[in-house]
Amino acid sequence: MTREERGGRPTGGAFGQTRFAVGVDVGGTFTDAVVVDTERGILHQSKAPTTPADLSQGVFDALEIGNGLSAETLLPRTGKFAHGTTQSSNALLMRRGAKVGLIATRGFGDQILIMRGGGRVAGMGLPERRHFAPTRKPDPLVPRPLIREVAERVDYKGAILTPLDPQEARRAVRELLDEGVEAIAIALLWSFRNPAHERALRGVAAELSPGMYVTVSSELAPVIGEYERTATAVIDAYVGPSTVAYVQRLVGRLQAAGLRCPLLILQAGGGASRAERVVSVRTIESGPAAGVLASQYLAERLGFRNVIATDVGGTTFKVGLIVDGAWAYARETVVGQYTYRVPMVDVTSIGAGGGSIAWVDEGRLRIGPHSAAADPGPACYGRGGEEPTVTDADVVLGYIDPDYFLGGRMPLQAPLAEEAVRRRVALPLFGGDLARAALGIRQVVNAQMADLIRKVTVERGHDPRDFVLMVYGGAGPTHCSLYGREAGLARAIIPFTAPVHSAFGAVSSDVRITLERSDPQAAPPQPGRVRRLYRELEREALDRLRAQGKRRGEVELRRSASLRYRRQMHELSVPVPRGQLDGRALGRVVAEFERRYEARYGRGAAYREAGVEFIGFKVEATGREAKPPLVRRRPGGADPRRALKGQRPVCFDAAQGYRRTRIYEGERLVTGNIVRGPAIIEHPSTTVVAAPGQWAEVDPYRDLVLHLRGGRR
Amino acid sequence: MSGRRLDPVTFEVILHKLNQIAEEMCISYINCSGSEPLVQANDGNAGITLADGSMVVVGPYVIIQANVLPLTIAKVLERCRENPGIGEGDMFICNDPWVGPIHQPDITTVAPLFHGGEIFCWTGASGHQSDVGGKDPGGFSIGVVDVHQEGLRMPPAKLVEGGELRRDLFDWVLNAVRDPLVGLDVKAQIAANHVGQARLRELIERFGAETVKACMEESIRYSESRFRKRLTSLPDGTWRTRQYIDHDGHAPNLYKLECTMTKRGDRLAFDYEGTDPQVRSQINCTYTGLIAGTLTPVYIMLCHDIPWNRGILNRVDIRAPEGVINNCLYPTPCSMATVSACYLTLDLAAAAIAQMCAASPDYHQEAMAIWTAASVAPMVSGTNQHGHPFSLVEMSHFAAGGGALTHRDGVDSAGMYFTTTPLISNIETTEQFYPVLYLFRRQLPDSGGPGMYRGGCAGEIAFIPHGHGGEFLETVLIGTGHEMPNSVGLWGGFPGGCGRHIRIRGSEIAERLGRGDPLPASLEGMGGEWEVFPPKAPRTPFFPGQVWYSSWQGAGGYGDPLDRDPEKVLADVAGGLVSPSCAREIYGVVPSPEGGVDHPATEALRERHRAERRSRAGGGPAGGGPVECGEPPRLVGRGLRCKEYVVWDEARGELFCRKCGFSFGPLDADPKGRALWEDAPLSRAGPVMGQLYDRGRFVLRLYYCPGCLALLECEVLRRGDPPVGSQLARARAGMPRRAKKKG
Repeated sequence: MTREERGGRPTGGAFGQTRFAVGVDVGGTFTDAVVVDTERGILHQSKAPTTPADLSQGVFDALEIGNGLSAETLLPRTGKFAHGTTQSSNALLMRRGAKVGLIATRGFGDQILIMRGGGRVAGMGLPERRHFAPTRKPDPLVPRPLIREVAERVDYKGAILTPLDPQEARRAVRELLDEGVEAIAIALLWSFRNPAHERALRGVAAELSPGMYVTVSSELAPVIGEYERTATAVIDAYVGPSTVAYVQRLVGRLQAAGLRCPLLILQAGGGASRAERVVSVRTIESGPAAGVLASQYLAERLGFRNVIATDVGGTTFKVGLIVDGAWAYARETVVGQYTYRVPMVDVTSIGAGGGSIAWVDEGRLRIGPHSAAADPGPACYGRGGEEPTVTDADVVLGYIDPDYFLGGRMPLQAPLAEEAVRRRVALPLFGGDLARAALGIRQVVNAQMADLIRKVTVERGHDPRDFVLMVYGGAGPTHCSLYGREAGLARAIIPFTAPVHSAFGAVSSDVRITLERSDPQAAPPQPGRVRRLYRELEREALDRLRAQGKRRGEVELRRSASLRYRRQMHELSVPVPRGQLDGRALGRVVAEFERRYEARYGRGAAYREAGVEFIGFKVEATGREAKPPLVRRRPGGADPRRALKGQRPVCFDAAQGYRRTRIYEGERLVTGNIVRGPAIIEHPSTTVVAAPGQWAEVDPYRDLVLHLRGGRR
Repeated sequence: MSGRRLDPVTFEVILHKLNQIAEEMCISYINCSGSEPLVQANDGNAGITLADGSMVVVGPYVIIQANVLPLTIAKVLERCRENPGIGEGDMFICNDPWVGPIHQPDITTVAPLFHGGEIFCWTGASGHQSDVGGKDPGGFSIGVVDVHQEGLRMPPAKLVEGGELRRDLFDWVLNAVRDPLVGLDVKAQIAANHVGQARLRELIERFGAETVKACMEESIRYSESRFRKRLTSLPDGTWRTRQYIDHDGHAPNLYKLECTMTKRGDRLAFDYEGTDPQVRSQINCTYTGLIAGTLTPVYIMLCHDIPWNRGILNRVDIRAPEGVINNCLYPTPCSMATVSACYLTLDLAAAAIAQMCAASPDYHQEAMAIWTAASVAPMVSGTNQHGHPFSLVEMSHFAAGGGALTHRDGVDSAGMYFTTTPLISNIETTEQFYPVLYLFRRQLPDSGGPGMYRGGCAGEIAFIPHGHGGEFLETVLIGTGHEMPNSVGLWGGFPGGCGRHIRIRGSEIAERLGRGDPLPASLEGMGGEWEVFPPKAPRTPFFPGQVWYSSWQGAGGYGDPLDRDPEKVLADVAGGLVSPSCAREIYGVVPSPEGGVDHPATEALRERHRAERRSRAGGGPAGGGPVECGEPPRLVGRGLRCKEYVVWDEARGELFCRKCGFSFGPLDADPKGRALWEDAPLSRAGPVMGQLYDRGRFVLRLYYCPGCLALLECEVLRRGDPPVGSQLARARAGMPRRAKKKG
């Protein structure tokens, strides 16, 4: 399936001799592609089924745009190719990774199994954590017999107390090789302070088994906290071999098909890396990061600095925050109950989506946490699901046209949706009133989504009213009219590229290296020490970007530090100015920390007497890539009549019941059109709901801006 | 009853928001706190109550810390209304164990939320501080005889007045404690209340006060109704459980706590009659610990899908005679309540509830043997390497073992039972702040209670002083269950391992460090001279060259270890969780030389173990001799049972062994009455059963089926104490009391 955007004036040129910029994102169900024709100023979108056995096939399938555009015609003339993959996430979640051996400090090999005593419930929602009996730890990524301990010890200052014995190091590596491991993770205590022993062990592994996939914790995550650092090294070792093999296979196929430019792989930190430099563990969860990246790019283009990016899928609702044009990094990440540390765009999620199951619990209307997922899916899919889902409620209310789901490619069975909602929710709770039951389901799930939006913004010291909402994911546009308004926002933007949002994020990505290092010290820190640290981090970042073809002048550097009061465990990130850092500049950093602290926790919460500490230092180096030239369109008038495709009964309010409501074909709306709610705007892969009183306009980029609180234009 | 019924949608929407507000309060609290137990082990919580203090929402952290909020608020209302008055923007701080918090190191701050000039509801936060003054640093004073030796004990006092922090009160708290960072925690509690109140005000603005209030009240009514139904569907019966405390801080005196749990219809009653009188030492708890401890397993095992609030307490009766160890009176000390009386109260209730759940075909899957049953922690204090005074409560034991279930193993280093969100510190974080260097932290082999399903393993740690520039350091020890295990098994499962505190001298640590030699990485590899300390010990100097070692209790197992899948036993051996000798002696598993299980040899060895049981055991109808067995009952899967193997045959009206058909009598008989039994040394359950601290005062009483010698029950018993028994009364409401009618 493809979509094409026509017309307009090309603004390209940055792509030189080549003509196309391509972004491809692999999702669970579909592989999405965005192709920007920089000569004609045209943007093509397409989708193809994901091919789990060999994901690269789906990539090629998605490039079959039609109209003479195919992999063969595109690739030789492509100047930028960026790719987001689920290869690593799948390997981790489906437990199809490498056989990993771990080398740890003697006495501490169990830390990856103990999981800080929290691995049993790490990353789980409240209902799961409260139900103790079924909770358990994940099967270990490294079973105990594949963990080797070596006698070596470094202390908190980085001083070597017990030197590594080269003989023992060889023995440990040799034993793991004899066990047939496919990758080795090396994670020693205090290695971020002094990496000598980890490097020595890597040398031994390289000598005894050249080509072995070896990970070193102090390079992947030079931060304090041996459990998370070890988990980072272990996860990278676990997903690394298959990720690297996948990327190499894809590069080979793309080059064979004529690609001349480097393949960029999207990472969870919100930037891309050249394929040959990819760090596997950083590609996990790159999809949500791409969503935020795309949101940032689109919002910037529209002139918005504060954005709440929301993605409603079948099973999860994800929220990312862009404040003053930049996203925040998550302190740590939990995937498959393992907590690890890599720079990652901060995206928070809950188990709520189109597939969330509605059920009655003794007079309570509950939604989730269970989901019908894709199989059997919502009752209306007709695959045997009998429990009503959020999507079923949308069908019952008339929001989703059963004959036009996914552009008509997957007809839904409305009677099954009605039956499920009636039997499981309407009869026990609403006296058989189908519409009230379906509206109730929507209201409860949308309130949960709005609660998460409020939590994510307010908890970080922001006011949701200062933000615009960016909406994507299959079910997002169907629900944002409610959850956006409930969260207090005025405007929601549904991008023209929403169906392929992550692929769009890929094509608009920059090459980015984010480096963080822990160096805990009391404030005021010695300026010389801090300067040296930033110098080292920046040099390393620039070196790495140079290896990816970025000259110094093309690189933008940003510094930040994480601070806290003495003995706290939670830090706040504070920007650190560029240029020469002296005592005064660092004093201002401390003052900014206290300002942010009180903004978040209330006036009077600061407690300078406790002492302030600098913990981590971070450098973000961005090597700008050419951006797809997007064309502003001239307004075509406010009247959307040309896009009107009919009317059908839709229910927005129990008291008023079903009302004849205008249905528009989203593809035919043009810049300047204004659609007044109540209205339904149908796209091939999603449906936009504008509630009574709300109105939507089509902006110069054909994005839909939904005015949630109504008001006059 | 509130005036009008809420529509289900509004109810659900507001309930979700209330839970989220409580969690957000907790996160703010933990993020802002500077207390080691809190920031490293999440030992705190927050909650929301009605205007009268009735619990509405328990936050997702340490359950006990939230359970004390209603008690505190009730006392604030009682004592402070007239003077100093309760006004808008006020907050009250308190750490008096006769008011709310279980012990003095837990400080609680509660705040009324006013609407329309009246108290609308309360928010509160409670958490464990790193010091509270008193005789010993770290909040637990050892060897005291009255509560005044235990440090600061604040009645409810107005900490914030009309939104302004009262500096005099704040300074007074700081004056009373050794660690100035307690101030950071007090501020964190204030921040948590600020966050909660701001969100609640938004909620009231959005939905209206009346609706929010109606929702709060409805949630309590809803929980009560759900809980009543749950109780009704569980079997009636009486379950008795017992626990011991093995040291009172003065001397190795023994104390017992007993619980009788009776379930009839839709009520659940806990009676602690039989518990020893209060002691002039810090091991007691007040009624606040009694209530908070009892409610914790009620929430966890019976109410995972019911909102935790006042509605549950409405169906539970909790009673203990005044002046006993878990209902002590002023001025009895109680700073170690959470390590002793309160914790064991939780264990007593949990063991009784587990048996009731296991008996039921519907809740069998929910039953869990006792998790790591008490805290074991070394605490170090002095001046750290950065020149700050400190007291470190070493919280590694929060990586507690998880109790075995009726269908699978407990989780190793699963996290403490009483918290929804467990956590322990990274080694590096501790070494960064405190002048210690760890030699190891690992899972402890054979600490998980053996059973058909094994209890989760505990762990062990050892550390030395390091980098503190010769400052004087001291260690205080807390713990329970070093002489005998508290983590009892369920229905034939053995208990989890005991705790240990050991100081090692003369192991040449300093010399090894000086030479850059490898440091010892196990207790056995330490050499030197071991000094086994009691579970509780007052300040002891901690000099360079010495090593402190501690290990904590494992979790109880489930079912007869001889029935454990031999493959799992060998997997545990390979994983370092079970020693080869226990595999043979306890589980009767023989590995084949090529690897894998030698099945014929295993079967033979297991038969030999059963024969040994027969030869050692007495009691029963024939004293170990042959007995008559009938047909094993056919109904098993969905039936009622009172041991793993003893099931109720409704048709024949008797309890039978489902393996061999031996009859244990009518439904309300205690199967122990007809079982064979023997008293075995604790070491029968493994090598970490208090061997290093043995005083010869405890036995394991093992009960076997006279027909097939299956292990039915394993009881930890002080020599001379009578066993405790349990009886089913009837399967469920409405079921005829067959046995009684016959008589």
